Amino acid sequence: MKTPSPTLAALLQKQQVWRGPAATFENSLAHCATGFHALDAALPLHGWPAAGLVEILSAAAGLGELSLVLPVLATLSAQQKPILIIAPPYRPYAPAWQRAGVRLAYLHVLEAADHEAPWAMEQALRAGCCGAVLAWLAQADDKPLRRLQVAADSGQTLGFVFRPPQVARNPSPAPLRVSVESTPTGTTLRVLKCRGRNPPLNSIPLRSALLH
Amino acid sequence: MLWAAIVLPHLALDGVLRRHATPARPLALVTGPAQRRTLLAVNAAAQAAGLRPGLGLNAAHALLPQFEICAHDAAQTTRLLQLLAAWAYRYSSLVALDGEDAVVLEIEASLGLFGPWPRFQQLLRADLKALGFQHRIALAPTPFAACVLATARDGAVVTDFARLQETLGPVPLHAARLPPPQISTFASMGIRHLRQLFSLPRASLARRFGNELLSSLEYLLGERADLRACYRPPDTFEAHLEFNYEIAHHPALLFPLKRMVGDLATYLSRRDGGVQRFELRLLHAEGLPTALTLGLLSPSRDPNHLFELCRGRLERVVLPAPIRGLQLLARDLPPFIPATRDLFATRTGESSSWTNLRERLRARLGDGALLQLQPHADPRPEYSSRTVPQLTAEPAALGLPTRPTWLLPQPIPWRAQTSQILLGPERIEAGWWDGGDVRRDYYVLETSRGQRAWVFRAVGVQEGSWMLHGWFA
Repeated sequence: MKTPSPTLAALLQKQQVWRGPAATFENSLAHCATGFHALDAALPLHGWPAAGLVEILSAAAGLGELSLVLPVLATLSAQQKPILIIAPPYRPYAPAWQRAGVRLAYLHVLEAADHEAPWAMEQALRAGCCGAVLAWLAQADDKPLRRLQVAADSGQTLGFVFRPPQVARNPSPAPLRVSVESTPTGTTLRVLKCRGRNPPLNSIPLRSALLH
Repeated sequence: MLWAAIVLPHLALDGVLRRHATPARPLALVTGPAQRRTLLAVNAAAQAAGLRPGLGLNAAHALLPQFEICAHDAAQTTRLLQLLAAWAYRYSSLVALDGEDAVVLEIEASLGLFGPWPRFQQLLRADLKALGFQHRIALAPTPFAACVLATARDGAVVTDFARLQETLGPVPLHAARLPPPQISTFASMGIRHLRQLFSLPRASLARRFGNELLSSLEYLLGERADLRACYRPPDTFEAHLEFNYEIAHHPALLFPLKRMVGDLATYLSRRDGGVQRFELRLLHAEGLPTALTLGLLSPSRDPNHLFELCRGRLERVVLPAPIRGLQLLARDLPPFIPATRDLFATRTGESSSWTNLRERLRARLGDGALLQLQPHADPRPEYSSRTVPQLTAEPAALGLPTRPTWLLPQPIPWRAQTSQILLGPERIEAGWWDGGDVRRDYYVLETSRGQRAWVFRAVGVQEGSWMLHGWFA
């Protein structure tokens, strides 16, 4: 006598087959719009994740790497969530940030030495009270980043890490990696890694060569 | 109101003996100038050998060659009395001191908790015995009468005014806590008991002995309200801990520190206050203590929060020497305002955890590490963005034209290759009022690498001196 072949539903019911979390991934995570329609369209969540680590690689200051995050900072500060900036390369210029819509009452700048910055960021992410935490970690390799990713997940906080582009070929635990690159037609954005989808192949224009 | 008086006849001596290793050996408290020292108080063993208060030190040595001598410290006695007042405060909210050797407390309101009086009295006596003070206790409707009764007759109880005069009658005048010179005058007049004093006409008493005596009598019998300054618990917290071993590394300090901070938090919650600034002193075997000042942006009384703060600060301290003791001083204790929460808030405790995070970061990275930005109405870019420790409200916008998001702390010479000028010039000419005069033409440039920079050239200079002042990041 032939045994009937098990159906898919039966297999799932016996819990012998592991299902990837893809289905829950899209549903469970909220998102915040980036403020750039082309980028929103390219990202699997249609925006920045509400919690998690985002890595932004930028070769030099002035490429528009901050303008990438200013819209989301403006949204979060309008929701009265504190925003913490850790070890920025220069002092943020208050009138410009205010013009970008960021409410300065919720903007906090922490001056920290290179070796203290990852600690401070981990504390801030884990506390779960900040809207977003931004840090410039030039020295950090993937080990502290892994800690930061875990902290961002447990604290349900959005973290932005700014790093030089040389680390692009090293693996990173951040679920989303974005590189800001300069081209003759202006600066563009390339998504190097995004959880939940293959990264889009074409780059996204961030700022055209002519001032708009 | 019913007042219980606790008279401590041997306060100074008890204060010495309670901390003494061998209180059974003969001991005397001495006072007076170095040439003429006299005995102030003696313990039981010394008394058995014939010593008594008032004896000269030489005479005492003639009677008993070997006995311990302690110098009397009046300030220490005052501290003891304060300590006893603090102890009595746990039984009553109205505690006052009387003279230099008595504490009175209003107990009628406390009877519901600790009463009836015989049980209450037992509680008081047990506590005092444990603290090591000889005492006499009495109960009366006025504080002064209670003190007089306690001095005269230990354990006396009078609960109504009707029996007060009758009970006070047989009290000898020397026990009536009246001013001493008048007692000797009364003795020579043949007046030895309060009863005789009560029967004298008041008007002539006042004329002859002054109003002070009259008011004393009125206080005694409750004919005049006895308004005393009540004891108030001190507005500071001090805790002290000595180790009988040396501690070289801070992890070993954490456990005692946690208890100490816990004590502070208990104290704060009892007085419904918070602490904003406190000092932690690490005491060394020799040399000055290492003092750590911990400041908070807003008052707190959460033990875990305060402990985390101390730990963060301790971790950064390089110990110059092993630690022998720990001291915690909190003098700035403002009222505590608990964080208000929205009834329907979705993420509870968010603001409080931001406060905690803020304090933790400041504790580790220094008080000045965490800043906020404030625009300032000054045309010069270097003055138009200020940093403040904390913003209270959203500052007004300045309404400036295009400005960079990063500003360099100092303008630096521009060396990059410029590919094009995007905007400019914008003339900024200001600062004549404070000597920091600037005349600059600002441009927005793009480099060959795609960076956007805010660059200026001093007005009137033709070539070469381009300065970089910010980045459009």
